[in-house]
Amino acid sequence: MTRTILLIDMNAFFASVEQAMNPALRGKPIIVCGRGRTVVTTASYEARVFGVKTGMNLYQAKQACPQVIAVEGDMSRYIDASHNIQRIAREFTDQVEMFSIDECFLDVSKTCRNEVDPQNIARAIKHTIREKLGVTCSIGIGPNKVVAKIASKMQKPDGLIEIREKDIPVLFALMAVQKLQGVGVGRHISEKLMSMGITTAGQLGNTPLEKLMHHFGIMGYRLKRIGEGKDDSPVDSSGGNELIKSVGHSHTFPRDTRDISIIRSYMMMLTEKVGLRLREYGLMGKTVYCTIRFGDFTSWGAQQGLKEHIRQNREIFFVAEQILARAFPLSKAVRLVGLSISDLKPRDTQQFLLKEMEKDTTLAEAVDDINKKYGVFTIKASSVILSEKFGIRPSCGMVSKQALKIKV
Amino acid sequence: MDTIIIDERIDVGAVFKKNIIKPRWFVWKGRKYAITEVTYTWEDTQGAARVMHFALSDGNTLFEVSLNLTSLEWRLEKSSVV
Repeated sequence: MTRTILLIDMNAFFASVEQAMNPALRGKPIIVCGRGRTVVTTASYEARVFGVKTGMNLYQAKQACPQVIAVEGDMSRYIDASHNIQRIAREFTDQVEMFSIDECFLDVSKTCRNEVDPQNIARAIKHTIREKLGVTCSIGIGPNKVVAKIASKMQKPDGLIEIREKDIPVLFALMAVQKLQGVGVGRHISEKLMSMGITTAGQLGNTPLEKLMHHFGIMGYRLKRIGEGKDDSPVDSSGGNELIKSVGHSHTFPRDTRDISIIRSYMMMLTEKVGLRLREYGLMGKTVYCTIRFGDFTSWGAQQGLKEHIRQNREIFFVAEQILARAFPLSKAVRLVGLSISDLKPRDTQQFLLKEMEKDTTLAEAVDDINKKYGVFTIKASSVILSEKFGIRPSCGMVSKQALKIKV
Repeated sequence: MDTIIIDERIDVGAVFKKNIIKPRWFVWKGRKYAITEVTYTWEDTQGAARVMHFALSDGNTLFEVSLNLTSLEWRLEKSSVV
């Protein structure tokens, strides 16, 4: 059965939302940075012309484009825009998968069986997004998710490209393997492929499976399928209802620090956020992972497996502190800390034999209820105050798929 | 871009029509600001309360104003000039 998949890829998303919001920024080179931070999160297309890229620091961006305007980002604005994009997509099909905050797959196969041209659907989506949000997107159309994603990257900004099944062999024969980055062929893999003499997507598809399995293990099968332009993965419209494998948060400090009390305070803050989400999902975890990113962007990370599943803040922080102690003394200033808990299972609903354990649960639930009603950190551990004074951004770290979920 | 965080309660005159809220003016520190354009709106939550955010221009300055839909309190969050 032939499928028709669309990928909506928002163009320079955060920067475009800022330009839509502020007329004075439209048509100007801008960069979006975090509060008190100088790393470029997104550059507008006007800034990209001058060579400004994501990951540069403000100094490098100013060197490349002296007139560039730095704007402080606001994640709540981008999440809301992402929700609106989902709502628009759902006007065309109920098969919508929010792949990331600025990418969205649609399966319009059923609609297209009724002689509807998928390019007309794509044009209508682009028009609605521009009208309602004031931003542009590129849309790729293909017989599967991999090909739709490749198509979406072929024309930016404001592009619309359809790759039909019959066009794949000719197109892939000429397409460099580097162009497959973002669909499962990372930089290291494409470098390795090139060292093996595989320079185009078509060559990748024609390489014997045994050879790819020999060099890449089980990944070899996936690589061959990508090279052939094949992908059976469905558009997952469950909206983040898939199995949650881990719950985590990270936070970039307003400025780098070596102060252990501040780092501990941020870890406590992250513990409160992780614990709240864990209890919200009715889960408990058995492996705690802590990460530190230093000012020079090198990272350190360690994990600890536990004998029993945990879910209370006090328990999570106790383990996090033990892990963190392995990183001390710090050789460099720290810019980010992260905490996650995995090896999850549904929460036990057993009656506690010990009165103290039941007290802990009742207290945590009462605090969670208050924080859900009046806002995160309304009631918090006093040690979080230190990190609040140092600076906590309203929305920190990566945005989980759960946060992108909308009520349908 | 210079952005100033204000976070103060304000009085706002707004038109509520067909599920759309359009602020027309607001008073801050005794001065009335006439809004010439609502450039962007978005929503988030503060605890259980839904909060609507408005980016408003008076022709010179961009203001971010919020309306808590539970307490019906308007706040001037930020102002920015390029």
